[in-house]
Amino acid sequence: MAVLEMKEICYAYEEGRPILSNVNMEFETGKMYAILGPSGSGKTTLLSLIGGLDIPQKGEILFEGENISQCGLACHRRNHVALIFQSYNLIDYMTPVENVALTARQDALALLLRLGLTAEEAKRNVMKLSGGQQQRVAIARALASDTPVILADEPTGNLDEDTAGEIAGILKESAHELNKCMIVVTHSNELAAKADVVLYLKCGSIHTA
Amino acid sequence: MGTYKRAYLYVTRKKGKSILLFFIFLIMATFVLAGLSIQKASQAAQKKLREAIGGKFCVSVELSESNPYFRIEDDGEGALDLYTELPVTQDMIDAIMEISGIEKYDASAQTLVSTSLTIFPGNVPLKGDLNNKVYARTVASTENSSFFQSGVMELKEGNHITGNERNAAVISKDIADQNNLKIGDTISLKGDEETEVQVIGIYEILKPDSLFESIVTYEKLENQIFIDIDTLQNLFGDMPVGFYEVVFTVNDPAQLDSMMSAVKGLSAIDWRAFAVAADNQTYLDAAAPLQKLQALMSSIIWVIVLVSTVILSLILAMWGRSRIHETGILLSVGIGKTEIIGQYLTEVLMIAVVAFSCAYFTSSAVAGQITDGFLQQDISVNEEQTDDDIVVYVKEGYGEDIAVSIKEDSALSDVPSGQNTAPEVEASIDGAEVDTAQIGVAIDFYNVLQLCFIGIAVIIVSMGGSSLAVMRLKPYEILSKMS
Repeated sequence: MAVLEMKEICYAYEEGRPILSNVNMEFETGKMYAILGPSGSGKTTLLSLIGGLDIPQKGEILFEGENISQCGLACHRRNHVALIFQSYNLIDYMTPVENVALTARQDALALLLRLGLTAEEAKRNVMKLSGGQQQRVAIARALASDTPVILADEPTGNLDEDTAGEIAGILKESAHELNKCMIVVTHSNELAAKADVVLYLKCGSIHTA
Repeated sequence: MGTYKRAYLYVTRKKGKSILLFFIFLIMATFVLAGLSIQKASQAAQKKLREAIGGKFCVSVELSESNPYFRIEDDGEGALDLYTELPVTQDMIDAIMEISGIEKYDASAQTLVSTSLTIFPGNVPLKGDLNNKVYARTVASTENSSFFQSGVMELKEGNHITGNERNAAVISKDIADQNNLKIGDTISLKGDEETEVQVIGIYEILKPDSLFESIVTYEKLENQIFIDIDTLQNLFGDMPVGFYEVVFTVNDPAQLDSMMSAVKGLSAIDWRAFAVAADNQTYLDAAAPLQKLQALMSSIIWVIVLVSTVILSLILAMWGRSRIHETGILLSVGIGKTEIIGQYLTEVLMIAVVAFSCAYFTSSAVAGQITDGFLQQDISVNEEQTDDDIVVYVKEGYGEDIAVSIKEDSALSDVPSGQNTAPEVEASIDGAEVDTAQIGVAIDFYNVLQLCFIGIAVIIVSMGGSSLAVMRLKPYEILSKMS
């Protein structure tokens, strides 16, 4: 059963130039989805609509069959989805443990250790970690929130090839082992190759591979 | 993670910002608290000063046509003789003195009399016999007379007139020397009748008339002869005599109006013949520096509050913009706008609480400096400085002389803890010190409470202004700004 549904979603930044046009899509838990598409095709916009950061001008997004606006966008973001960004978006005055604890419904330190950080690194200032370590913290924060849907916007965009590979592995593993619906927006074919479902966004419409 | 935990982490990890905000709050709170405490102390000092100086009201003969006992007679030489057939009698004074709260009185009546003594001529020539006349000043007590109370005159030899004497006079040392008079000698005075009086006291003039002042012979200080009420009766034969003006001093000027009403309610006195008027000019003059201080403090508090609000708003707005990234992150993880504003508000309040607590100590020192500085500056025009204190004559008048003195810190060693070393204001009236009104600037719980209300209002206004711009944006717009 689909955990998330998009029905006739339309969005435009300028009138008459829709970036998303009647998008229909269903997402299930336990799978990793990769959304590919050229720059400006509306990938991030689509992700922000699913993530409850913005409201579609037309259509509706359903979480477990219920329109997300009924619960409220803040409630949707807190309880249904977690976001992972390309630039990690960690809070600079907190340690990794504290960043994860922001939304934690699980043991933050245990999650960080599982994702490869040492106990010492987990209590260091987050800005003193490498890019890969910071992205692991961001993933840990998303997983700690215990939401069924995880949205990742270019999660490997700032990382080197090896680290990107490791992060992609963690995302896929999380989707399968933790039964998450992992939706990843990316330009990276390597990352897309690890996804269970690959989608293409072009001219405002979404297509399966 | 809760709002308070996030706020605590921000305040403790962003030390630079926290310290800057702490000092802004500390400066603001110090001056506001100092201002509030000075204001309060000034009010208390005014109350003490009022009690020290006392209020006065005057019962005087109504010299107008509305007084049915008022008479005008032409002396045939072009001068008019104004008098009343019903002056203020000792019985009336006694009736008024029975009203509780009246401390003392000064009764007087002056009459022009002729004398065979050699007197001191004035520098304003008068017509006819007036150049040879002097004032016979009838008093109930020379000691309570404004001349002696103000320090213009001082008894040098003999005794004061106390109200129990008959045919007694107190004359100046100048007249005594000029006429070879001593205590026990008799002199002759002539009004409607001629009478002999015995010199029972000799006074010295401590504050002589100015050389540049135009003054007639009978008003020269040297020529004033103080007499008792019986002597006045002897001078005018069967004509009813009494006092033309009686000044009553009350303990608390705040009660002045009610006391005057009580006096006017005395049915034994025919009030068509008399007027009752308040005299609190003495208090107003003495309290002027304190009232100025109080007004200045109000202005300072308003200026500080406004400036602090503006500065705080600008800083918080600037920081709000720099925290747009953090705001976006918090929004993206599902933390609501209200909680985010709550966190930012908590951070500011945490720092404010610490700053306000420190201000409790710093404001005491500042309040002392401000009070000291202001009062010294305000009164420096006429100051007479001694080793121990500064004495300033706020009003130098013929009848009364008020001084406000500010004692140095050494005189304040007994000030209780919690109070600063603020100057002590003493009120003196008529040359003699009456009582002490001390400006004890102490910060109390009520001042701190006021500061908290003001501080919270400033913070909410500043936070509201600075948060609005960011919080009006949609999370997606904030996240777009992040990148």
